[in-house]
Amino acid sequence: MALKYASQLQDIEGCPPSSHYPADGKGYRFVHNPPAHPKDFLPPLRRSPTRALKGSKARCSGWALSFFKSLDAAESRYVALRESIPNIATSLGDAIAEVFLEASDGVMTAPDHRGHFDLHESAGATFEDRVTVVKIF
Amino acid sequence: MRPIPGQTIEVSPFGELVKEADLIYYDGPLLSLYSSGSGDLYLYYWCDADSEVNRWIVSRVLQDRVNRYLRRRMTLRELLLSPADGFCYVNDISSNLETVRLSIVDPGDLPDSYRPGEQSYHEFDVDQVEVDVRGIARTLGSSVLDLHLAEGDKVGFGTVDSVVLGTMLRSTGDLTADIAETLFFRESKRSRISRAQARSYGEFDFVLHKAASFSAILRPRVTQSSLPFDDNRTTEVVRGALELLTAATSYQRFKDVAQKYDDAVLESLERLVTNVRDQRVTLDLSWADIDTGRLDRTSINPRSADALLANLHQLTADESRDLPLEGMFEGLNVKLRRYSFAANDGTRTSGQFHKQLAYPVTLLNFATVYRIVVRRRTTRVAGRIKPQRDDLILEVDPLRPVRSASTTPELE
Repeated sequence: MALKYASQLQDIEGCPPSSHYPADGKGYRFVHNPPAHPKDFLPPLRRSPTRALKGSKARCSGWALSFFKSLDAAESRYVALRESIPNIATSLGDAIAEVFLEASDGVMTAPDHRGHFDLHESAGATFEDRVTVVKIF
Repeated sequence: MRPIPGQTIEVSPFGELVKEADLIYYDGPLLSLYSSGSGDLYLYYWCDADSEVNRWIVSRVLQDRVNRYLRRRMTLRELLLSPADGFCYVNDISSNLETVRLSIVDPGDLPDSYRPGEQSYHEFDVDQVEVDVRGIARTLGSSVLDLHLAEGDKVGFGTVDSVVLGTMLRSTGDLTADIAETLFFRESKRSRISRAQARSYGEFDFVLHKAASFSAILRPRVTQSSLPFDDNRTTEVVRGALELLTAATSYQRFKDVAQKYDDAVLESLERLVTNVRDQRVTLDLSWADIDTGRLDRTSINPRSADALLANLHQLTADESRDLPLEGMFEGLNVKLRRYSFAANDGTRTSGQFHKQLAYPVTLLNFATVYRIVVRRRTTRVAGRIKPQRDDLILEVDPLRPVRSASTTPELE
């Protein structure tokens, strides 16, 4: 499967990680409400201005979309971030959207202990029309 | 982006900063800790962005307060809004990491949306920037060993409990010195290397520490020059230690590697691993070789320590039993308290007398049948050809003389 940012990934060692597998199941992502903001489905390294991402792990993740495996995991992460950084909505949005991910969307990493995973999009993947906002902060 | 009242400055007062860790990270750093060349710590807190720049609040902070924040004893609000200097900076930085604006600001003038909440305790995974061990080696002009401690209540950011540090330094140093002795101690006339000289190839000096969580940088005590691709002795020692620690998680590999070393090395290894388990820390060892630029590393944590100790104990099986024997002494060394003894049933034993043996050793002779009790300790190390056997006489009772006293051989 051709990935959307394959040319950028080829220069990053071990990216995507060898443990990746085809996208499958529900994913939850921070978005603006309604999810039409251009940043909502751009990986961090495509946004402007970017924050410095150094090291192969950070740069690999910087070309992926962040998702959570469950609504609870996404919500608790957002609440913690917002408590420490009240203006976080400026960057991440003010809502959580749900989308059913399919193999044709790309490859995903295994969720970490906080339920977060990276999705490396396939070349033709789009999400704007398929997401449902399930939580507004 | 909203203007913040403050004094614009043209020249950065920070100097060259080195990132120590990202304390909050989501799709990029949001709260990062940097250190200056003079050891000052600066907190970079993301607070806003527009289409051109990211806005960061920069505060000089004290290490103790950072640790209190990371241990959830202080909120980010308290840490950030009470900077060490009484003021903070607002720094607008573009995508290409250039400062567009920098101003000195009174924390009281920051808008509410830039202020962390009342309950802003640290609930995030710290993403520490790895210590550049090879860079330190280049700076010092010497190979270095990075003894990095992480996890547990006793390890903070740039701080560590002194007992934990001392224990880890000591047990790591014992292991490398014992390995060095095994590898290089030679008593032959042609190439004599004393025990102390051999051990020096496994000894290190503490040079400096880095905050990550706590890294002790050690330099070999003996400076050696080596030709390219010709490993020096300390490199051989450290690689031996790393190989042992790495192999010990797999019994079969450990069995093969352990054959190279004597019991003292395996006992040192056991002490080190036991300390990791008991002190509840993660120990990362990295060796940067100045000659080749190569970096070798391994890691052990309390969980892997349990598996490692199980393999170590499986490898070394101790057996101890007491043997009652009747027979006669064939050799006696009263000064060294050593003996050899032939039992009537054909069993032979040689070894030492117990320090608290009740019967006087000076009264023993070769013309009397004795009943003795020998404690035989057999240590079987897998992979060794012969088990190690230590005999110790616990009891001696004279039974009957068999020859005249005049035929008694001389004692040594």
